Amino acid sequence: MEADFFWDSGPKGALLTLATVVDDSGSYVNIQATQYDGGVVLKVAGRMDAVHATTFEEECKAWVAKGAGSVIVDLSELTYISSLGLRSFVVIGKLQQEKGGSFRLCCLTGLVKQVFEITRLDSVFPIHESVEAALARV
Amino acid sequence: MPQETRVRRLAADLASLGEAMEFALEGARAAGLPERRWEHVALVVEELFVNISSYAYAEGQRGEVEIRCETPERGVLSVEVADRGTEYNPLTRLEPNLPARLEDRAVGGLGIFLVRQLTDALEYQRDDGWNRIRFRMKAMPGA
Repeated sequence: MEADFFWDSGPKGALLTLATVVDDSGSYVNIQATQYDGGVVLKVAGRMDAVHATTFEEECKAWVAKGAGSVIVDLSELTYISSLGLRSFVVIGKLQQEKGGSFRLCCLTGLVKQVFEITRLDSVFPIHESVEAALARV
Repeated sequence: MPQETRVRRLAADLASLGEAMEFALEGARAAGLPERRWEHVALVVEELFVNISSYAYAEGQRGEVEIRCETPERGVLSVEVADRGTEYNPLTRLEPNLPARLEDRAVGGLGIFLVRQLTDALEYQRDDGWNRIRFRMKAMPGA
């Protein structure tokens, strides 16, 4: 019942975890988790390339395993994504679907938005204009 | 105008991915591609590089990737990404099922699809033990 305890404790809207991975070339990904009523918002900043996609996937999987009913990913500060990053979104989306939870994305911009559109993943996941709009659907 | 050629040989290892992308970005800047296309160049080179580092060489075999950037004319970048691994033409991969719902979507398979969408004149050649993928980048795909 560790998951229940987790969800009942701590102030809502508080920053819980922060993961940053920087590789040799200075490319980085930074994932900031904030818990809200009924869900967690993961703000991903930096570049989600083949090296960094795993960091994101592991972080998401940890939240899914903790029983986060709703996982919202804020992509406002993600500047780059490749197919391995997209793969992680599909993996997590499927996991959440199997668990009966939801997986929502918000604030796609630039290349990230373009890549989601080209691959039509923008019609696979619920996409919102803002974190608030995504939270309103939780 | 004289054609400028830049060549870089790197270990076919994810640890070299950052350098491969940086090299491709230098090529994009040197070719005079508009800034919005720079990340497309990096993305295409990443997809091809990752395919090679994952599949081209046998486990434990030290393989390499050669990236060649040329500027045939101002505003056009021509790139070749080559390896000496197992013969494989990634362009024969089946198209992903894009209209499928989440439960029916394959987990992977989007890399080469993205490469096709973002490049012009994409071709594969097997040549004297090398797998060579060549593509061109212009201001906009198809321009």
